[in-house]
Parts: sequence; C-alpha cells; structure tokens
Amino acid sequence: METHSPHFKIRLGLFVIGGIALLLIALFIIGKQKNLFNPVFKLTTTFYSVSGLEAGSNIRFSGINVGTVDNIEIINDSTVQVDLLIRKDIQQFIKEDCVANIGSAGIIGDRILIISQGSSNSPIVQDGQRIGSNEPIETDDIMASLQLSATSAEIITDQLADIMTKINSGKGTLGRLIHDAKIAQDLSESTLNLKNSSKQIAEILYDINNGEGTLGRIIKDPNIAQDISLTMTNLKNGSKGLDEVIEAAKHNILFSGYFKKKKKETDNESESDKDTHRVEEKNEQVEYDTPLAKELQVLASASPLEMDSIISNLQVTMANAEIISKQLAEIMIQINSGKGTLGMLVQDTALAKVINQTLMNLKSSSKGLDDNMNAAKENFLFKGYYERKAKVAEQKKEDALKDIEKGKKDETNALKDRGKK
Amino acid sequence: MRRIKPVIKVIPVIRSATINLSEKTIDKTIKASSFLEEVANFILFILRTFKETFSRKFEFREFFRQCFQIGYKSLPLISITGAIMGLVLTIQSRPILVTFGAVTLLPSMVAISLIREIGPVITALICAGKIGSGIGAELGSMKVTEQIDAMEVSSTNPMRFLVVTRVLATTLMLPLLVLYADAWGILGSWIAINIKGDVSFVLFSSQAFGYLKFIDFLPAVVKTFFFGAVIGLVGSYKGYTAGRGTESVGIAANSAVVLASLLVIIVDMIAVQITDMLI
Repeated sequence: METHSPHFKIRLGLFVIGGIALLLIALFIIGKQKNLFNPVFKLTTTFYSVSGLEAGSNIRFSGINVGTVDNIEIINDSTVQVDLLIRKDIQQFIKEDCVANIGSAGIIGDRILIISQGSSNSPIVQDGQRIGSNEPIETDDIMASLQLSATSAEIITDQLADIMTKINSGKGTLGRLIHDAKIAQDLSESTLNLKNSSKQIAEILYDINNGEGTLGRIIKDPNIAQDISLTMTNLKNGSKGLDEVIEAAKHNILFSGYFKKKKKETDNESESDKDTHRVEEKNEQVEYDTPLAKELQVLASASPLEMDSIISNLQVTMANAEIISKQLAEIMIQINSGKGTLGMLVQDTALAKVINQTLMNLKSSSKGLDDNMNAAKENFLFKGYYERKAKVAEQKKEDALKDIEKGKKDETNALKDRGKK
Repeated sequence: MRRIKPVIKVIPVIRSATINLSEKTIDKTIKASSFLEEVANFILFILRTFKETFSRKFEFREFFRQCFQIGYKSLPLISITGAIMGLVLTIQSRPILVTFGAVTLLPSMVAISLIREIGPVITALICAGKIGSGIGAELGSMKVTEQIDAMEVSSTNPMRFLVVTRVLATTLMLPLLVLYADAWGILGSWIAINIKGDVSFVLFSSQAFGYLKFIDFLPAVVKTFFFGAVIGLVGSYKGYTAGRGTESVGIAANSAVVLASLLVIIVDMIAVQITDMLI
C-alpha cells in the first residue's frame, strides 16, 4: 500500500467512484427500458380516453406480456396517443388489422393494453405503424347498464310477486287448482273411482278367464260352445225350411194375392228411400267429406272467443267424464256384486245353468221345427210347391251332369285330334 | 516518475500568476483527496485480499474458527431478529390485505418479501453491526498493540491469516445466516397469522410457497455472498488500517459498522437493479 503515490491513489479513487456512479446510472437507464437487451419495435395507437393506462403498463397479446407502454401524451382535446414498445420476435404475429383494447389485470384492476388477434391474410405491422383501437368500457358505463338491468329485474319481480299473490289467494286457474279443496277432492274421487273401476274390471276379467259366471262359461266351456254351434246349425236349417214354406205359401193360391200386394208396397217404399238417400249424400259431399274433417274445419275456423267456448266445453266434457267414471265404477260394483242383468249374467252361476238349459231347449225346439218343416213338405197345401222345386233342382242337376259329360267328350276329341296329328 | 516537457511554450505571465485559494477550499480539497485516497486504499486492500485468497498456503484452522465465531455465534441474534421480522411484517401487512379481501395471499406475500429483500438486507445489516464491528475492533486492537507488525516480523502473512480467513468466513456464513433468518421469519409469520386466525402449518406453507418461484430465491441468495464479502472486507480494512492510538480501535469499529451498512445498501440497490433487468 505504501508503495503507491498519493496521486495514483487519488486517480484510483476517482476512477472507482466514477465507475460506481457510471454503473448506477447505466443500471437505472437499463432498468427504465427493460427491453434494452431484447430488440423491440414501436407501434402507436390513439384513444379518446385511456381509462387509467400509464406509461410502463404491460401490453398483452394472446394473453402473454409482449411489451410495455412507452409513452402516453395528449395530442389534441379528444385524442390521446399511446406509444407501445413490443418485442421484435412478436412482430411477425401482429397484423395490420390488430386492434388495441384497454383491459384490467389482477384483483386490484391494474390497467393493461391488450392487442387483439388479426386476420391471417392481413400483412404484418411495420415499425412505427399506427394500429386501430377500441374505446375502453368505463366503470360508470357498466354501472349505468347494471342499473338498467336492475330496474328491469325489479319490474319482473313485481310482476312475479303479483302472479304469486293471485295464485296464493286462489284466483285464476292455477290458483284454484292449488287452493280449491273441492277440485282436489273431485280429482281425488275421480282417481279413486278409476282405481275401483279398474279393480272391478280386473276381477271380472279374472272370473271370465277362470270360466266362472255365464260369460266365463260361454268363453271357456267347450260344451256350451258345441251346444251353441249345434243350435245355430239347427236354427239355420229351420230358417231355411221356414223360408221354403213361405216361398211355397207365396205360390199357393190362398196367399199369392197378399204377397203380390205386399211386394208392390215394398218396391214403392224402397224407391222413395233411395231418392232421399241420394239427396242426403249429395248434401254431405258438398259441405264436408267426413265427420272428422267437419270437426277439424270447425276447430280451424274457430275464433279466439270460440276457442274459449271450446275450452269451456272441454271443461264440461271433463266433468262429464268424471261423472261417467263414477257411474262406471258403480256399474262395475253392481256387476261384481251380481246385481242387475249383466251382474247376474257374470256372477250368477245358477243363471248360467238356466241359460244353458234354455240353449238345450232351443236346440231341441229347433230340431222340432225342422221336423215340422218336413211335415209341411208332405202337406197337400205345400206339396205342389215342393215338388216343382224338386223338379227344378233335378233339372239343374241333369243340366250340370250334361255339361260335365260334354266337357269330357270335348277333351277326348281334342286328345284324339292331337294323337292323329 | 518521468516528466514530459511541454511542447508549447508557456507564456511567462501565466507561469508567474498565482491562484489565491481560501482556507476552506483548501481544507475541502484536502478532504476530497483524502477520501479518494481512502477509496483507493480500500480498492487496493480488496485486490490484495483477493490475491492472498488464492495464494498457496491457506489458513484452514483459522478459517473454521472464524466460521464458528461469525456463523454459529450469530445464530441466536439472527433467530430472534428473523422471527420478529416475519411476525411484524405479517401484522403490518394484514390490514391492507383485509381491505382488498386477499388475506389468503398474506403468507405468500410475506414469504416473497422475506426471501427476496427483507431477510437478506436486515440480516446483512445486523451482521454488519455485530460481525463488522467485531472484526474492526479485533484487528484495530491488534494494530494498536502492534501484533500485526509482530506477525509481519515473524514472517507470518497477517493478510492471509487475519483478513482472508475473516472475509471468506463472512462471505460463506452470511448466506446461511440469511436462509436461517428467512426460515425463522416464515415461522414468525405463521405465529402472527395464528394470533388473528387459525391456519395449520401445512396450509400456511402451501400458501406461502405457492407463489414462490426459484427465480425469487436465487438472486436473493447470490447477493448475500456479496453482502458477506462487503462486511468482512470493510471490517478487516478498518481494523487493519486503524491508527496508533487506543481511541482508533473505537473509531475503526464504528466506521466499520457505518461503512459496511452503507455498502450493503448500495450493493443491494445494484443487485436489485441487475435482477430486475435480467428477469
């Protein structure tokens, strides 16, 4: 230490102090312009109001901090110019149609400048170029908008409260539905009745399926089915015989006069019926094609007032349906309890036996009728008719046989001809 | 030194002219020149210390003794200071965060403040007071009692034995003391938060270290090495260059603390500027 002269020491001291001062100044200059070591380019934009943006605020592009606001100055009474310093490597992504917006970052709401994405076919911005801007939304504007929304919400809630009050006081359809105990009771009763009806029907169907009661026996018992089938056959035969008897009576001298007279009367009636029927059909075709179309036409042409009447009709219909269901339930109860004709028919096994017996009787009586018809055929009064009929039938039979024989001969001739050929 | 003869002939009138300076100006000039000389001496001292640090013979025994003295013996003071730092910082920051409804950010805010700035600087200032003054007084008294001269006579390098070991010990111990103080500070912050509320230490640490990045931690640790070096160098320089009188021991200790504290703040400013510039 002692080897150095005072002059050298003074110079060294000056150098060190100067060096430290220079270092500090350099550091502050570098600190002010953070982008000294990163190449940057400049852009400018203008706003009517910068809404608290300051020099040094961050600039965001695609959510990344890409630079800082370099300078903000008022260039005239309605324009504020903002100079932006943006990293050079970001320049390729910023297009000429990018727009500068002022937004806020963080919970305290520091203002930042946000550059929106440009279109892909737009050219890249140049250094020092001016880009477009959107005016920032002021907090006061948001508050004004919120106030408007709040007013609307107030009106809506008022209306809702009014509606709720009406409902609560039992006014209107909804109110009555909620508050009118009678409607609730009616609905409950209807449901109960429907439930009972369905239960009764289920019981009836169960009985029928098990072959109990008349209906059950009719469906399940094969003997009854056979009896009915036989009865029907006998009835058919009997009616056929009766028809023949009547035909014979028509040809009989004693009744021919009466039948001719009756035929004349029926012919006249049928002709007049046909005429009236034609006229009605024509009228229907003019007005409506079908009954359903008619209803639809009525509905379509219904005015709002008519709609009200339709709705009131529907209400009446609903009320009727309620009554009907109630009645049905009662009927079902009666049927199940074996009361009334149907009830007896379903439940009373004795009645089923009686009906069975009746059918047996019918079977035997139809057989008797058949015998009577045979006796009538033998009677002198109808004998002539039956004989003529038998002759006609024989004639038809002979003709048919002849036709068949002729057909056979033609076939053999044709075969012979083929053989010859 | 060789003198160069001026090529241009100096006018005799100017040569004969005299400049009258007042006593005050002369006094100030002398003071300024002595200040610059002092700066130069300090720079030369630093250079010599640096040179001696990398010399062959290294006093390991003395180095470890100094590490124990500087590091271990400072732990109680640093622990108490660190814990109180965290506690006070948390209590003071809480109301403003309550205003913003961001009380959950309190642990992370305190942790970042402590680790990035307050922990290193406060610890360095306390160490400047404790260690800087200690080194200055010790070396100053050695100088006064001519022990340093005796060492030089007995062919022991006093710079290597006394200065290098102390400077290296402060340079290496101070970062450890700062980390220790940071830990105590975070613990103090947890205590402060639990005075007002009830937060488990697991939740507190997840909140505290949630926002903390490695980039917050690294520059803070790097600058503490410089703080340590500054404290050691200033203390050693002031003690080593103390005057002959007994009062110079006190002056050396006092000026060591003042200069070390000032340099710590200046180094911190430079470090912060560089950190801000790089990140």
